[in-house]
Amino acid sequence: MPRLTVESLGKSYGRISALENATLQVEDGEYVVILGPSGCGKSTLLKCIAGITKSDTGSIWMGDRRIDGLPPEERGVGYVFQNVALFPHMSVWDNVVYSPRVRAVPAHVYRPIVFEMLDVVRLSVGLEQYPSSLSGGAAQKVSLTRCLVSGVELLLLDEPLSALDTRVRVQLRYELRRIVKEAKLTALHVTHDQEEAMAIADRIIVMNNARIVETGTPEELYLKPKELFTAQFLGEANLLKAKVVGLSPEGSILEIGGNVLRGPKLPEVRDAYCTVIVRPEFVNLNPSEGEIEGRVGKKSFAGSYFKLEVEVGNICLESKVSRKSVAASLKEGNKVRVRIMPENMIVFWP
Amino acid sequence: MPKVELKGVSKRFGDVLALDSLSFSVDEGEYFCLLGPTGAGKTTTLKVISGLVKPDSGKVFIDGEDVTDSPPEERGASYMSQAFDLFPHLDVLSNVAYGPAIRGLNERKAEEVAVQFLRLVKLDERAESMPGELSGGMQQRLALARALCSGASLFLFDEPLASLDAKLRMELRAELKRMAKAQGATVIHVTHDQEEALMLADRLAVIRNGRLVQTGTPSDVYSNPKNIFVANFIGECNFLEVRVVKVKGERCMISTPDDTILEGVCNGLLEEGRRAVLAIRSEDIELSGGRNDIPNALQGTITDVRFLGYYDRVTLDLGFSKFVHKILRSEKLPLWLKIGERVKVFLPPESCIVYPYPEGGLLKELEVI
Repeated sequence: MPRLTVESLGKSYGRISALENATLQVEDGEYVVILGPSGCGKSTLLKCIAGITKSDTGSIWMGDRRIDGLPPEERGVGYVFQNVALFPHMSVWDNVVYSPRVRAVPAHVYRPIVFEMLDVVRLSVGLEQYPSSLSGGAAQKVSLTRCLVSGVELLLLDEPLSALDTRVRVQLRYELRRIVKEAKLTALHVTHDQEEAMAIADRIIVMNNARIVETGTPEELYLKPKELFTAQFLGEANLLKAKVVGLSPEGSILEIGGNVLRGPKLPEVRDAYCTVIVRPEFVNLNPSEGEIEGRVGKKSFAGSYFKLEVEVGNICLESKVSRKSVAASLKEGNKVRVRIMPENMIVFWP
Repeated sequence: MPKVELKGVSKRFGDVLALDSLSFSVDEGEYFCLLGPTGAGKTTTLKVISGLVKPDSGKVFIDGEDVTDSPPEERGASYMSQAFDLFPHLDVLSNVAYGPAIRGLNERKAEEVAVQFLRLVKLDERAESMPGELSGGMQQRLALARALCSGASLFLFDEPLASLDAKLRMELRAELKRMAKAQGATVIHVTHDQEEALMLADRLAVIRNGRLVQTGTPSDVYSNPKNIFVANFIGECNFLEVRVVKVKGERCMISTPDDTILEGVCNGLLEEGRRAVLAIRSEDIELSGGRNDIPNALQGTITDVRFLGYYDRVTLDLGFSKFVHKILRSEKLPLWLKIGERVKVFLPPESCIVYPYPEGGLLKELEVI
């Protein structure tokens, strides 16, 4: 049985619909990330599960226990906010043991759990320190620890890394996944950061305009998205209009921006138009090999890779090229051969 | 003549020395990024240039003229702060049209210009909203539109894209640079996002504790980081404590904790027998499944392979340290690349930069906040 089941959940604020017919499941021990642009309803969904916001329709189940009528503290969920909410007048230790203390759990019962969790979190600050002396990353780890020791069944994380410095955020995302896995917890994490979602999640739920768009592993959603929105939101993409000009048992022939290219296998739809998505790293550039000829336009340095614009026919493709590859030495104005493997074309029909 | 020049600028706030004898110059028409961790003094630097903060010592020049004591309005700079400073009582359109209007355009003309800039930041549909009704990301775009159509020749942007999601950030990033270049404007753009700085800047400066650490083109700074702090702050680097065995010219031999001898490139004064730090970019490592006879390699075990879209992130356990390896996705991964496999970790000598061991210890240098 799934740890969490959400069925047909809906929520409106006046005439604005914040959440429509949201249905999802989270398995025991799974780390699920809800990803979407700002205002898509992802935080509303999380707040409904936590009980901070009351849903209008639908139901929420924790195992076989229906929880959407219960107050937040009886739902068995822990909630971590974007802006760390620690008690400023309490030490790190007092913050961490706050929950067991108010529930009058005896110290000899909670202390071993607290120490175990502190061990898992690898907190590098003194327990006697006060929140004001902590860095953003350390403070977020303290609030996570506080959540973990309260013995929750499900951890809800609302943009937990968004307020942190980029470097700290990147470090902490891997930490977060490790902690949840080591503590054998189940987590539902909301973010607008695509790379963060892929780095952390077992499974991603993509949301847009108050609805769930699709669900899958990072790999499925990035390489084989079913919806155009996902293809464009998760990672960079060349969006190309294509005309099917030929079909063969091996694949298809596509006309894209005045170029004729080999395409993937398609159903019998001659002379039809479709949209083809190609990730920039799959636009292979080579001085000599490749199906079509192009000309290098703007080139920009991005650290581990270069981003090159390539004009082919009457369109412009974006290509990501590893710093060490032969293509990295290409310069603006150079002629290149361009190749896109048919299996790296994602086709959408109108 | 540089557009902006800072000469030995210092500023103290109480006990904190926010700027410590900071000097740099920015050329006319240049897109210049100021990069550093939280608290490095980036915002204070912008405020000193805009005239909102007066330095304790040092001089600020704009167009060759000493403006250290000039008020903000005489400096011809447009400053976009992190607080946005929108006019709460004016709607979106009027916020943006304000600049063109005080420059003397009639109301209709000013609004036309404003709409054009609102379209650019994709806010034209919200022209009649009040700032308070917008989300954080929208307010940021509004502030950006307002700054851009002020007609200034110098733009000072403080984290102008920080509140946006990656897709929008990427689009506006390209727009921002295109616009600045089209207007022939000079831009000083503060960010803590190293990728943003690398992709936008003609030249960038890394600052730390109010001091300048390194300036250069993005590829200069990325390829030849001056010290461990820069190597760690820009790009993803692996670090290893080593001992110097032999120095010969620009190259050196070092020994790792498991007594493997490796060759690397010296950066700074290295002494034989002393501790040092080896740095290698995560994308510069090469892995090999079978062969055992590669020089300049260590033995490692793959502990994690994460799919991250355009690249895969492989974590390696070397026994005495953990390394991260980034593989750009253009070809299929080899079959042996999976968790638990023992692999050879090849460190190309030209990609191994060896730094003297930092005085305060390696961990202190790697602290980013």
